[in-house]
Amino acid sequence: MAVSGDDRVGLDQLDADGEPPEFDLTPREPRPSDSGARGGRNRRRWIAAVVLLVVVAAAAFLVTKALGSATDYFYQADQAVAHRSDLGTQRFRVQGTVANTPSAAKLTENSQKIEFQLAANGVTVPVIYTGSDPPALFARCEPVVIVGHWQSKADDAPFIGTQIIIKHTESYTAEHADRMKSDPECRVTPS
Amino acid sequence: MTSIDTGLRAAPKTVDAPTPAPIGTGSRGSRILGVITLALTGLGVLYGLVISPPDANQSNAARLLYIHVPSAIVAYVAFGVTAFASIMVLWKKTETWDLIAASSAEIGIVFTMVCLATGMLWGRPIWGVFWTWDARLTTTALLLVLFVGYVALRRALAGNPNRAKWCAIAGIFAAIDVPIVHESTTWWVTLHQGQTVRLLGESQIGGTMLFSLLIMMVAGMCGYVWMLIIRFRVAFLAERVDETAFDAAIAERRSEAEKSRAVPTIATSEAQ
Repeated sequence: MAVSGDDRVGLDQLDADGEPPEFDLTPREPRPSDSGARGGRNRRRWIAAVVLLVVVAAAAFLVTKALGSATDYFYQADQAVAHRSDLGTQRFRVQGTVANTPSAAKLTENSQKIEFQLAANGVTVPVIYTGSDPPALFARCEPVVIVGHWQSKADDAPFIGTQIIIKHTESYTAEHADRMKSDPECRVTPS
Repeated sequence: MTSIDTGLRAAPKTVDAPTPAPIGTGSRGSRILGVITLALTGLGVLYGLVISPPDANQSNAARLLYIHVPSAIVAYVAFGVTAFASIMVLWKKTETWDLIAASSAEIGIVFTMVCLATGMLWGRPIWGVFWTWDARLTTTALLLVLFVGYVALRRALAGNPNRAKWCAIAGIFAAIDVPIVHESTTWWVTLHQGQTVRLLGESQIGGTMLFSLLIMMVAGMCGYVWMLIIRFRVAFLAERVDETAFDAAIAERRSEAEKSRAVPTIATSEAQ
């Protein structure tokens, strides 16, 4: 086994004054490199402990998030109408399908404002959306989630939307196949 | 220098004593699996990007499904293996199960990240947002954080004789989130869609789209087993480094002792 380290001298190495060096036969202390390695390991352990702490904090944050908004991600349009008085003008998410019935086909669009009817379980809600451009998939018969609030507690008050999110379904169909919509108010819309 | 006491019996001293311990990071099995994974991934790329048609609604963004869903499934399996191995650690108290639990968790983290990344890339053009705090997304983020915490715990407890036990408990605890993630779209209202591929009942996908997805699922599983073998062997060898370092240190001291036994007679006689 090769012996390394400069604290060892062979017989052919003499001190500057020509005397052979004294040999210390007492058990050796760990070399500085050993303690250095141990220090590095301690430091790594500290870093890991800090990471662990951050992770626990992040987990706690996510759990609170999950218990809060995530479990009640949205109200269906009919639920939003039913809870109108409780909800007041606070911010929440409402889900429904962009209506396509002749009476509700009012998808007016200009640079500032989009007005449309949001339908779910036979209840339609007038929505006035003001915000940035809606997602590319925003269209009639498309299930969407609108972030916003009731304009007032009045029964005919519209829902003021500030963000449109597409609620995509789990079905995947090849392009050019006949598109069938299951929503009763958007029966069959050929693509 | 002391060997790190992991509180576990080292593999050679247990039942698998006569089996040859890994001496490299790869085995014949891992090399074969590597080739299969590569071939299946190549086929998956061909089907996913060329042969399968664009989706009627989502157009080409739908192709992210072929990575997103398999990576989620592999992550579930990886964390499930961590949970199973953790139970075995508490029961059998062997180093092998402890290293399998740790290796599988690390791979699970990678696949969870791939799943989240592809989901966000898909979400921006389809939903309109990269991220939203619905139940599926929140519990998946939690899953990632829990297992990053598991790995951090292993590092923090390095050298602790009870590390395997504590980490096994943490691993089992973290894996509880796996079924919660899976069921989140049925338990709560979520923006995230429900299951597309069902083992029971009709899948919401078919033809070459389904076939592309299945290829990538098999490729993902092969890739997982391949990585698990390699990661386990690296972890096993890393544990051995401490042992060999201990042996080397003893050999070094012995050779010193022999040298110094020879040296003093000459040195002292000349000094006097």
